Amino acid sequence: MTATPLLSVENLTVMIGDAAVVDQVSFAVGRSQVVAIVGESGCGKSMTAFALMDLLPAAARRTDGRIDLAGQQLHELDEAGMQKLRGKDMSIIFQEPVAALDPLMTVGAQLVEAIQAHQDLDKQAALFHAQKLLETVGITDAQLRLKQYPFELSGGMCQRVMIAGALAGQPSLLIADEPTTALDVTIQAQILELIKQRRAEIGASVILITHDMGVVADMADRVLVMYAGRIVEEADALDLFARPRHPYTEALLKSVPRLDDVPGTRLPVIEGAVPRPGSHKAGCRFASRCPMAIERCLKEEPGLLPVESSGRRSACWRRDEVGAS
Amino acid sequence: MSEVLGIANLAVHFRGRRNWRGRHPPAVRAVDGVTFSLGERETLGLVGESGCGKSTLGNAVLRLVTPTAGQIRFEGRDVTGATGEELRALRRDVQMIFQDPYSALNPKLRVGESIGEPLLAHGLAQGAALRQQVSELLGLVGLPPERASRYPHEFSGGQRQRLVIARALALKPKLIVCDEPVSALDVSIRSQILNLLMEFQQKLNLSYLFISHDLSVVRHISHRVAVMYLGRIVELAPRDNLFREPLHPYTEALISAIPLPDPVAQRKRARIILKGELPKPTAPPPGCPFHTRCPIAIPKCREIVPLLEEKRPGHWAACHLRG
Repeated sequence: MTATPLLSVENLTVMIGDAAVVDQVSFAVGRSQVVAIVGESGCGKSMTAFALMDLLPAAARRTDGRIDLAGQQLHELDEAGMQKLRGKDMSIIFQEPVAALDPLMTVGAQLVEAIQAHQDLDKQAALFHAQKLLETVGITDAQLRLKQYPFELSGGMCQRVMIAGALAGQPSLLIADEPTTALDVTIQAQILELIKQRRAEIGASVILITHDMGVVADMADRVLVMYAGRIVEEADALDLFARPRHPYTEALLKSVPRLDDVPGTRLPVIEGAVPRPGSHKAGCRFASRCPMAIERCLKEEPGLLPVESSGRRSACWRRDEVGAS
Repeated sequence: MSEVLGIANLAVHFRGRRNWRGRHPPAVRAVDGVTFSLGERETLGLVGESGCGKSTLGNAVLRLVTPTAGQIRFEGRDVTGATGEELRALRRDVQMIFQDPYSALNPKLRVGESIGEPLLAHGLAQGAALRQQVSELLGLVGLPPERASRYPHEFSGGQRQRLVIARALALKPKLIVCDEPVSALDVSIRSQILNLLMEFQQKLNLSYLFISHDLSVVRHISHRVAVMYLGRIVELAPRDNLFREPLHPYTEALISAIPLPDPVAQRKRARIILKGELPKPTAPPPGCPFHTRCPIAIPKCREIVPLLEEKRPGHWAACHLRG
């Protein structure tokens, strides 16, 4: 990683009622780096993204944490300050592309709005720019599409429009929240390729939120594994897949059917379910489902501490033994 | 292997409502000339992207939609036009598991009532015998029998899918149509449900028509796999043949599009990225339905529809160029 990361997050905490859905999360994103955040539903990965953008749902609030984006202290900014930043310095694309666009505005109007928010262009120039943007994300007939409404486009096409809008201001950080989960595999391949390409051109950093380990393997430089609101493992992608250092990561990798496994065999399972936010007891949050849990795991919560290789961290008392077989 | 389900030249077209001029919009050819058979204790995986007609095909097997043409055979009987008692019998022997366990259970019924309802509806059990059977079914899917008096909202997603499976098993069916049964579930729960389905197949002599867009899941659970595109089967083969040596360029692209959870292998893989999207099923292209996105199409593909032919023993594909 470069000496000064683009984004650094310290002790980020998001509460819904009395429950911490994101609990003292710290990490950094280097310049031009792709960092994947993985975990099951309810682990806090999307909430982390929303907190960075200051777009948390009404019930949730950020109660703690410092967020530094290229020297700007985001946690100190008010709504007006954040608005200036969103779209210009950091952008987000969402899981449901059709729902994320305004159904009552044409594609052109939405893109023009996004462009004019940060650039001093008249409508005609902005429209021309919008057309160029659609072409860069591989939309044919861009002129026609500008006049259409989201419902007239397919899901894959809406996702392209969203990416075009998100990249309009050439942000240095793009947050992609499950960008391909709602799409078919052939369209997923197109969109992932597009994100790679555009990222290479702009040189942006990407935070990629996903539950699909295949997408992580394809895209990520670095991986954060979240469980019950906490980061439980952090490593370079190659190291993580070569040998996970947290039993949860190991279980996540093992329990998915793969194109290269032995068909028809029993799949390894993770018993139980993710604890509800705020309901976990003392000790490690994964202990009740962990095949490696010992006495200590039930009493003391392990910190996210370095494992031998550089920059690798795991929150497990038995981090040195995991994946050793 | 004796045939449990046989589908011959099946077509399901939806005509749509008349517009203000009194004209019908072009029909949606959701399923168009599909033929396959499914044996006892066999799982046939049915894969394809949204809108390819795989769910409509599943619904047609249960006669939840009316076929426009073709034949559906169940255990040798033609059930395409079955009505009355014959249709009731079919719906005893064929059950369905849906994708979303949240909407598949009535939120106002205790889960025991939901599971017992098929037995009650078919007059197979009531009173104490019904309660006994519900308990056994809950035990079978790994849930404590005393939770029969709870409501669906008190269960997690994975547990709800177990409840849906218990209900599907209540009538001791021979065939279960599984329509994306694990797509809405988290990865850790997904493997539990897949294990359960594989276990029951052996224990209860079940056949599955397993509909999914997830090729890794389909590969794991299926014996044979059919790939659908725009309402047609474009390739049908034993699992290993299909994954090792796909003949149809669409199958090939689908397999290559799935990212492997292994960064070293994945980053070395040559990916076939298809251009464009699925054409509208109201206006399928002439000739081969796939030619608009096919990387190897020749002029012939634009004009002549390729037939599904047996290119190798047991391995069928609909392509002019391959095989």
